[in-house]
Amino acid sequence: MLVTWAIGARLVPWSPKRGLGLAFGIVAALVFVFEMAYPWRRSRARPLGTAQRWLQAHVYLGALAFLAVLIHSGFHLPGVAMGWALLLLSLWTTASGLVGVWLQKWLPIVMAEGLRVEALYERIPALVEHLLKEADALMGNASEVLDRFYTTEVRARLATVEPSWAYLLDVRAGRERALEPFRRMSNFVDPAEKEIVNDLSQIRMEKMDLDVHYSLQGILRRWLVLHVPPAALLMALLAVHILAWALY
Amino acid sequence: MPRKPTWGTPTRSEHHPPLRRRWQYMVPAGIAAGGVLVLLVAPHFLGARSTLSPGSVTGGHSAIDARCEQCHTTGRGVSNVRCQRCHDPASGGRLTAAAHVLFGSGDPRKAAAAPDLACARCHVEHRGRRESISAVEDLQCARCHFGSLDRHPEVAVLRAAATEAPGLKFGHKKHIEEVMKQQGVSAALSCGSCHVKSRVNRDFEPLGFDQHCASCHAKQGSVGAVDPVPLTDVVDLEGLRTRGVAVAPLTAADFEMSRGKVSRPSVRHRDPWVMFNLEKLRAETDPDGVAAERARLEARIAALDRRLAAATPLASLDRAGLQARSTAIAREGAGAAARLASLASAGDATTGADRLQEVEAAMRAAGDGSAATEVAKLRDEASARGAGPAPLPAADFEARRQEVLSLLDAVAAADPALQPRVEDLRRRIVALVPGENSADLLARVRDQRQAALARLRDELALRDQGVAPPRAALLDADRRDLQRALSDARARLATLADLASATISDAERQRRRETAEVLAASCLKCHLLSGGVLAPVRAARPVLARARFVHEPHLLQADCARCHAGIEKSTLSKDLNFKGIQSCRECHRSFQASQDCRECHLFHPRAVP
Repeated sequence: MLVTWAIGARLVPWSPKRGLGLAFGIVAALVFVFEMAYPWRRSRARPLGTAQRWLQAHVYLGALAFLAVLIHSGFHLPGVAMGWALLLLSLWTTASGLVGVWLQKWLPIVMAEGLRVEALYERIPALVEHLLKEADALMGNASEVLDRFYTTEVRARLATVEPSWAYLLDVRAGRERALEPFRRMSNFVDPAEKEIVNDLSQIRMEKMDLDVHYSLQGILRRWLVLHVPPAALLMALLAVHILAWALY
Repeated sequence: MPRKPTWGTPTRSEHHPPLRRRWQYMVPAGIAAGGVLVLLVAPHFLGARSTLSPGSVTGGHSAIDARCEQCHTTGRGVSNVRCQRCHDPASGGRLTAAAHVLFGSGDPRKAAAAPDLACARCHVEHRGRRESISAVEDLQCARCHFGSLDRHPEVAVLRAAATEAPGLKFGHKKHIEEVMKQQGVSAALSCGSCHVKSRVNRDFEPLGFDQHCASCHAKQGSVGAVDPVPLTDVVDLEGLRTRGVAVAPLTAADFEMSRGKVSRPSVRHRDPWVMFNLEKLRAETDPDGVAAERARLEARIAALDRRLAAATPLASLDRAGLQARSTAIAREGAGAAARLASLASAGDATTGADRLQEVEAAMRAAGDGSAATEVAKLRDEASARGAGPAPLPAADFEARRQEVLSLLDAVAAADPALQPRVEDLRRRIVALVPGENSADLLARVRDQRQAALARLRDELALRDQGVAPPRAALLDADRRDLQRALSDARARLATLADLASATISDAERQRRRETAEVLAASCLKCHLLSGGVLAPVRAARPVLARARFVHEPHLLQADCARCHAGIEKSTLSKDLNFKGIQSCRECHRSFQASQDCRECHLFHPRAVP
């Protein structure tokens, strides 16, 4: 594409309205339409290729479409608001898509390597609830000291899912600090209760694994907020752009 | 028993988890985008056109910013006729690519073959108020011309090697030395004595006798004397008054009569008596030249009148008027097409070629190979020539035109009933340009009429849509130019009309020529006589035909000698002492002065030729 542009622009004055400039615009528009069809097509991928192939096509063609937009404009900055809107939305949509690709590749690896527990995002609240019940059951025959410790320092942290952006940087963030009260407590309880403290700390760690899952899987699902609405807006403006071109 | 650590997926779920809804993001995003689409498009169809505009138009077009139909035709983009409504109201076609090619090359056949370029191809709109629509990328020029200043050919005036004489006997050397002596300045500073910066156009004020020459070349207003000339050869003061010539400064005391001769001890610059009698003597000694000039002026007046008529009413004509004009132009176009067709059939080489082929076959049958070859050559030439006769060479063109124009003048004088036909023929002959034959001219006329017709039809369609015509003010510039040219031509024609030409003997003609030389003796100290008239003076006029040059910004960077080196030694009036394109390249290069074509060049020729 770049070679075509480089040769074409040397031969004739480049214009988005004519010749190769227009051709690249049409190509970009068609690819954008194909890109928008991806969510509809993905679930019905077969027999027209696998879902993976469709995803790959979505990613690579999306990047090429942005390049086609740049070539369409002759690598000139737009002079008008509509041009800026189209260019910036194209840039944002492509960039957010590529960020999404990176997240999809990187986060599962990080979670698989750094966490002990695997869980479906939708099941995490139920699992957390279950962990709380398990912890409550453990405390059934506990001493008053241990029960007070559980009530004041542990139970609240087990009761709800606690997502955090910090897990994006380190999936084991806060573990040592979370384990510290349990280590301290095991010095003050009877030897028979040390095992309960140990079980409680394991429940706490499992809960933290679920928190990490909830945070990172949430990001994996919600980055689409940054991608899909701008893409839809881009399509709306593209329709206006094409309509204006066709009418005038 | 200690709790077992969990590895992998916990199995404690008691129910199937609710999965994320499909289209969770797509549906709201689609609805929002649809809303935006409706918000942008619906107002357009309700009349608020600016919502589909890709951006503001340039400052010059701000008045029609949201009135798309002033430039756009739905589904067909921007058509040239919409631009021409305001920018070429005289329908001169000067904004077409053909006019540009003719302006640049002077070759009408090349111009006829020029592609029909859309105005919007080079003049890009909707780039914002601050942008200039006349700013055209060099790449547009490079489609046909060289791509950079490094490959710019030498300027035409130097390439031609012979510059046009400015109609004066003049040498810079003598004048610069005189200024240096009188004012005690260096040669570099002496230029400013005559070349004075203009207050209006960033260039120099035009040179004029009263401002620049009179101080040395006139003594108390007198530029010399007129030796005695026969009274019979000239018109006296009373005669001038009778003919309505403005003779205000002259009185009878300015004339000396003696033995049937009249003389003038003192004449002023542009003395009306001398000027009139020079014209009169020219009419008597060169009647053909005067007749040709008169015919050319009449034809020019007719052509300018036609353009003025075409320029004026289009904006103010009502629908019926537009339709009437449309019908008239369609008839003219059809007439040109019919004449062209008859010309083509008259010049059709097919029949002749068939006969030549028969002759060639006969020659071959008779065994005369060389004659058959000659005939074959003739046949090839005949078939290659195309419609119409081949155009005259440029050198013979003007002489032949003068001859035909004077013949037409004689025809009109002999039979006034033929006047309308003569006028039509005159207009067509004057409209011819060197290198063009009658078929080319007819084709050009037909194309012009078709273009005019397209404009009228578009105007009618716009009126139907309720689109207002351009403001009259927009038409004024063209009209003013046309009216000025028309009034100059009429004034000159009136001068010629007063001069009666008579048939005189060669000896008498020679004698009167000598009288003219005596009359013009004072003038000829500086002026040149050309064809019996004083050559028009073109002192310090621009010499670049297809480019514009303003001195002011250049003089801020360098002195006169930088480009006109050695001008202080020049002794000929046609000397430019200009190094040409090399001078330009010294400053117009990367990281210095602009190299854009538009800095110097005009694409469109000026309105009135």
